[in-house]
Amino acid sequence: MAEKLVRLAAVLLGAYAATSALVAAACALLPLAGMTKADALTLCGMLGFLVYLVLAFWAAIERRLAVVWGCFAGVVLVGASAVAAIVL
Amino acid sequence: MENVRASLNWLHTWTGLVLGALLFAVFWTGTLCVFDREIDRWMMPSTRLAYADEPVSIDWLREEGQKFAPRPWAVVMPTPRDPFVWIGYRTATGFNRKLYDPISHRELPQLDTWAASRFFFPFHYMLHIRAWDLGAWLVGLAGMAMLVLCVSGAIIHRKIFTDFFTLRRPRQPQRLILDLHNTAGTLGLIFFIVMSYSGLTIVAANYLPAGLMVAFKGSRLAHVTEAYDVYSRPKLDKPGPPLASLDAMVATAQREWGGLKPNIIRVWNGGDANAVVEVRPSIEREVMMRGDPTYFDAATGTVLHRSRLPAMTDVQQFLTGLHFIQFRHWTLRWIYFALGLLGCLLIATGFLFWLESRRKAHAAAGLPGVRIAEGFAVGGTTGLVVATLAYLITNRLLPAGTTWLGGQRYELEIWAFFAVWALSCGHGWVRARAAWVEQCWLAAGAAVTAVALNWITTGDHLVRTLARGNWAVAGVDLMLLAGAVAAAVTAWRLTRRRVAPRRGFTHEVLS
Repeated sequence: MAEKLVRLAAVLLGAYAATSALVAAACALLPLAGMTKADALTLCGMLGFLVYLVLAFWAAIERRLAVVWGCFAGVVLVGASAVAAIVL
Repeated sequence: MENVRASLNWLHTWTGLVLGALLFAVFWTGTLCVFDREIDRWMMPSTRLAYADEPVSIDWLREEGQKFAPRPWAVVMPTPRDPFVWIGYRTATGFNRKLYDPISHRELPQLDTWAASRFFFPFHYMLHIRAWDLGAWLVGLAGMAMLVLCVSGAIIHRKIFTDFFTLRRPRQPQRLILDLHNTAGTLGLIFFIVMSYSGLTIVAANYLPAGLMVAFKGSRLAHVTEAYDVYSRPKLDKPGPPLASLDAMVATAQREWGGLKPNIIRVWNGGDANAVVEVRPSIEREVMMRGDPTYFDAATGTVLHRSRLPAMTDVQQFLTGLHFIQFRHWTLRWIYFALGLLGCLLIATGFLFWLESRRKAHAAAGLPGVRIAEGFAVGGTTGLVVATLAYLITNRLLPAGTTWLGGQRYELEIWAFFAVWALSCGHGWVRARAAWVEQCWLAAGAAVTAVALNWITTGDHLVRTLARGNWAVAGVDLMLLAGAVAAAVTAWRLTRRRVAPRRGFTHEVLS
């Protein structure tokens, strides 16, 4: 039961947090490549749901939950650092 | 691979069970919204006008509109589905509108109702739950869940092409339900995926606020201004000259668009020296929701700005247009409607399969699962249909100007909807399996009652509406009657199973 709840949290929250970090990082990076901020956000908005879908599926089927959470935490960390480095 | 399939099965089952009622509500109201304007005509009898496909002058509305300035106000042009011209304006608390006959210029008396476009449509994207945007987030969750269900369903379903042509009528009812669930899912798969995905992208910036935070420091206004090339200029706080000819501005804008009709004419900072008129093009002609208005100086009618959308916004507006189906195409509209109903069938059979394959085991083990889920399943599916019909019936029964317990007339209609919905959930819990039959009969009776009440209260019976070519009202009446027949047949088949129990419950529901 506890394992299922941790997995549910990974599917719902972990995957969403990782997606948000990727979207935030892309919104910071793409304007450096010459895209307008609005286009970057619109593009990330459209791709974000697909990224979330893939991450949620992976969180549901990967047997080692620690790996799932580890990767999500890593993505959030890297994404946040990228945003901090570019925006701040 | 078997492990993966088991995991996906788990994901599919629990997502469907927990979010099934929410998904059905979003699908059902979305399906109704395919014909929201037609339901509007049915619920607002004073607007059942014949559409004259002629250029409409709007200069005569200037004086009336300026009464609402300096708050923004707008003129919305007639379309075949909304055959009147109207002024929309902001009030201190919200939004209101005045409707006019575009030819006689007579103001149309309005029944105080939110009808479909102001009730079912917002329900479809935010469930009328405003607190913390909770309703919108729930709908977003449902949309994401639908994507997860579609993909996981397609993967766990091994023989997708063989089963596409398979509809067995075996002794085991679960098999038939599963066949129906699979066939509905396969047939509509692309539609369900496209609708869920495009629905999410419409308000993507709200669902992924991290991107908005980084790109625009969280300002939706800044994002919209750049993404949709919105023009504005600040108020000068000194009175300006009177509004120039709106018709002339429309004509100028039309030349820019290659003759495309106007859709909305909006006045910003009305009465101020810096007043602006925004003329938006019709969205009837192409899938993409056009969002490239021309802006005019309100006093002189000179062009201030022509919006050009960035390419990425065009892509996003194409997805939006695909979802909103505001373009004029009746065949596609009916296909959307049919596929929407297929989605409702998909969700309902998913529920039934879960219930029927666990009913005996749960009863034997004394588990409450089926009992609890059945209340949600009955209330969430047939109950919602009955509530919708109660909303239509209340609309025809309440006289204009009715108030009760401090509720305005339109609120009373909405209360009736939610009260009946809550009651049907309760009914599902109390009566369990019998509730399906009873609510089917109820739906059949209510649908016929609605058609009869439309005749009694407006004199518009089917022979008349068909003879006059009033397809909106005739279509709603015909769909109600068709729905009544479908509900009655289902109820009758469900009752017959009690006489011949060996043939099984669901076989009878769905054969």
